[in-house]
Amino acid sequence: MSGVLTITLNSANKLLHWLMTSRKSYVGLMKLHKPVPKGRLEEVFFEFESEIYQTPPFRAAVKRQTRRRKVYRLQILESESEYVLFRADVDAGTYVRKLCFDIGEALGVGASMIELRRTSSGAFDERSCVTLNRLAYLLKVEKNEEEASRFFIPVEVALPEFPVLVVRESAVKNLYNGAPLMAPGVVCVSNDVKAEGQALVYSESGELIEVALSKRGKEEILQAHSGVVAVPIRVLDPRVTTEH
Amino acid sequence: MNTVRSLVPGLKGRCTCREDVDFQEASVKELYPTFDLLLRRSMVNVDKPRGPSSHEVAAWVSRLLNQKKVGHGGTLERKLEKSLCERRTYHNP
Repeated sequence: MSGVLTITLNSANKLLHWLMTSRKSYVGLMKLHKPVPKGRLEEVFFEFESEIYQTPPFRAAVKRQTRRRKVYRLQILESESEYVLFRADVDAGTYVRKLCFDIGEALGVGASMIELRRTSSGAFDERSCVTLNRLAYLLKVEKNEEEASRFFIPVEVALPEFPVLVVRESAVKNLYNGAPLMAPGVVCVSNDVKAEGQALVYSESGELIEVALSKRGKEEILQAHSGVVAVPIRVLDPRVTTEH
Repeated sequence: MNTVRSLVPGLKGRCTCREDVDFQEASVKELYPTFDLLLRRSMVNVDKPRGPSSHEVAAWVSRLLNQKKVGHGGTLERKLEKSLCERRTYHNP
């Protein structure tokens, strides 16, 4: 169980939910408890490449209730006697070990997962990864923060495409204090902003201030002269702490 | 005219503005000039090895970077060194 693991630092922790709700890709090795003809194996793999229902395992970090998840791609890369090397592209929150077990049940012979590697998480794949060794070497031995900083992705870049509101510098301080966003503070609205939908609030200088719940749609915001436009859901800490 | 700087790719094409706005691409360096500032609001993708749990890897990174608040997304379970069966025989020979 190796591969891409997203680690969030400080303020980025508050955005874990928005950073992690994207698709994941895995390469894994499955062991069938008895060999199965190749045709049958392919048939069952194809069947599982769809919407599936899963209950999280006994030892899980989430509530154990049946959930629906989509398997976008399930592909046999190689198979030899009872071993199957596969690739799976799935929704966030899909238990691949469980998926392997269920495939085993469908085949009638039983199966278990013996190795798994996450090859991508949302937009990030193995190429964007840094090994722990390399990171430690860069920071402790070479003391090359410049080179190490290449692996750190600020929240502004890390988040996937999402509705956006850009606000005036004069509104920034109040927003950081948790105030709702008022109409005069808005400069730009992205075309996908909807009433009662979430939006990322950026300052004119480009820093992310908060994730907010927009109270009005795009056209309404552009025409409004007063009133609340959005209320905060998660407010970050300021990029630079200001002296008071 | 107002200037909006942004790290979000293609924001100009997705936006409607209330006034004339000049969009400029910002750079990470200008928003986060030092490594410490960058660490305040960023994430890193590590290639998790097979041994330790995701939680342990996060703790390790936290100590390496000397940062208090460190989290991880999408738990990758640790490798089971002994199967549950083997463990049972160990306790119950």
